[in-house]
Amino acid sequence: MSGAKKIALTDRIGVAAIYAIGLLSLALLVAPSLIVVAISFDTRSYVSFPPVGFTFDWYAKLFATPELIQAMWVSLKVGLIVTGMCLALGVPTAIACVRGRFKGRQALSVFVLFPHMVPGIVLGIAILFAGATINARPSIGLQSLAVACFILAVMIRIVMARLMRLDVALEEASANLGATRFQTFRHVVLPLLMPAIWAGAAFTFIEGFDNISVAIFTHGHRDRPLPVELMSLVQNDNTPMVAAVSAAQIALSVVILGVVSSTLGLEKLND
Amino acid sequence: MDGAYVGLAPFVAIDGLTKRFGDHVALADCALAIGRGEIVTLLGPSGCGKTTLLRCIAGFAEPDAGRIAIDDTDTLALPVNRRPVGVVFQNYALFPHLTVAANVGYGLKMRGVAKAEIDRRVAEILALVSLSELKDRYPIALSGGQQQRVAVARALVVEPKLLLLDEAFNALDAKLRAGMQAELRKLIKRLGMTAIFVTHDQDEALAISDRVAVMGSGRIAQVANPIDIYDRPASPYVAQFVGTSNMLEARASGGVATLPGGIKLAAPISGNVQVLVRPQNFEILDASDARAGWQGRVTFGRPAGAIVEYEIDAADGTSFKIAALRDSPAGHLPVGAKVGLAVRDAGTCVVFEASS
Repeated sequence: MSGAKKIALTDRIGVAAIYAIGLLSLALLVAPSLIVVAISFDTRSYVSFPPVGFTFDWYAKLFATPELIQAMWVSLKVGLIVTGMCLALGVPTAIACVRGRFKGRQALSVFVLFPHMVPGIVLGIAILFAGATINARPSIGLQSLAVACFILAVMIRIVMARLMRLDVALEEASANLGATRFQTFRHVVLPLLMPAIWAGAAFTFIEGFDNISVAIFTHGHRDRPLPVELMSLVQNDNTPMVAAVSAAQIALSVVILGVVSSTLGLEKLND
Repeated sequence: MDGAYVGLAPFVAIDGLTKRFGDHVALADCALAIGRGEIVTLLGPSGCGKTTLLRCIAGFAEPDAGRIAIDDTDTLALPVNRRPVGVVFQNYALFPHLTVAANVGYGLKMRGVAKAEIDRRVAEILALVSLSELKDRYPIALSGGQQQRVAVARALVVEPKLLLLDEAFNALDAKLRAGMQAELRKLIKRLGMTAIFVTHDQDEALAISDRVAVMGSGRIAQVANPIDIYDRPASPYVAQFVGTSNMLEARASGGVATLPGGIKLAAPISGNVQVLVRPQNFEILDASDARAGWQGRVTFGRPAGAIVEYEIDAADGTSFKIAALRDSPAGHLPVGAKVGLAVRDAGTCVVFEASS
């Protein structure tokens, strides 16, 4: 019967609308980044779009600017420290929130999201002042702590989501087969959480690397992270080198997400 | 025999087991004795407590009262990972990140058995369940039946004293199920393993077990061999849960209950009684036949293999479920046909006290 293959006109319009919205969203998400990348190769010495020529000069200049290289190292350090802190705090907290059997478990799982709800600027100022009371000056350490505080919720949520989909029967089976609680964690829970942990690590590293709202109040005066350096660059020197730095950062994020999704699979998070 | 355990001290002894979840009583004073090498099924609808009982034995749930002894050892005193119990989970709970061989060897590895010894025992048990060629596959690449055999092998390889199987055939399609039930029963018997199955499927219970414990509302309603459960149910609950049943109201006095049609049944009680008559214990007669105790009209007919299942409504509103051989004269009645009904054999009817 040919009627079965016919799709109603209203359905076609609906599908077309969904495609259109999807493409528009994608364009809105990606286009600004692509514009930045395009500008970074422009031959003119001021930021303008569309570019009129092609050169690697701005990248050469970038790598010849010691403040920018120094700032990249700072951001890299902060990114790694933030990732480490979020792993150490976030994974156990997520497990406690999902599998724990204590009073206030629900409250805890909401409370840990709180720092992420507070505007980054407010959190940055709060940690700056709180640090001052115990004589903790702005530094790589304080900045890392502040950004970790801000982004910890993301790590916790990702790991929690994965853990909630893990069948408790797997842990019961492990115990039934003679495993201690630690053995069950080591041989069953942890391996099955790894995709979530890697994804969480990627997100927290990227946030540590390029967060500005929290970092601007808490970074060390001689250890300016890349986003802060970049902001003063935009204010003082409006050349396409700014775009080149941004493009380098975009490339870093793409590489990290690409590695995570190809080796472990971000789609695995939805198992 | 009433199905109670007879013999030496039971291998598995469950006594006074009680478990509450808040106000809900999941297990109420359950007692069950199981002999070495026996296969017992806990049968009941969902929420009857059968899974809770299994979880208490395995150590996944802690009973509020009672005792469980396996081979004369107080099992409740042991932590979950030291109980001599192997569990086959409802959806098998195979570790998705481990191969078949690693899944099966998991218990041995956790016990610190040497690598070579693990390999030897895993190979042995995989051969037993005919899975040797699949040892390097991951669970996701196995069929339901293969997954079940991995789960059984994984539970058996650590040599438990008692095997627990929770709805072990649920995930299999109906055609595969009957074959796997027979296979698994043979395997367990060959190993001399003691096993408890949990199921809501009466056919599975009747097919696989030496004895069946029918549960309802957290209690064990009856424990008996499969034939006695069907032929001699201890209560209307058991009668209605196992097999198809017709519960007829009658009055009893002087030790005799009389059904329409003049059928007389021995009744140990007097007053209002309920009489269980199985579908195949009715004879379908002509409507005018003098032997008929009831006159009725066919409202539904359904062929089921060699028999036909009818629903027949009597004039007084009683609805009967009747089975007739398809190649008998009553095998082809149209809907609307007027018939008479009589009880064939008084001896296979069961008389219960009326519930209200």
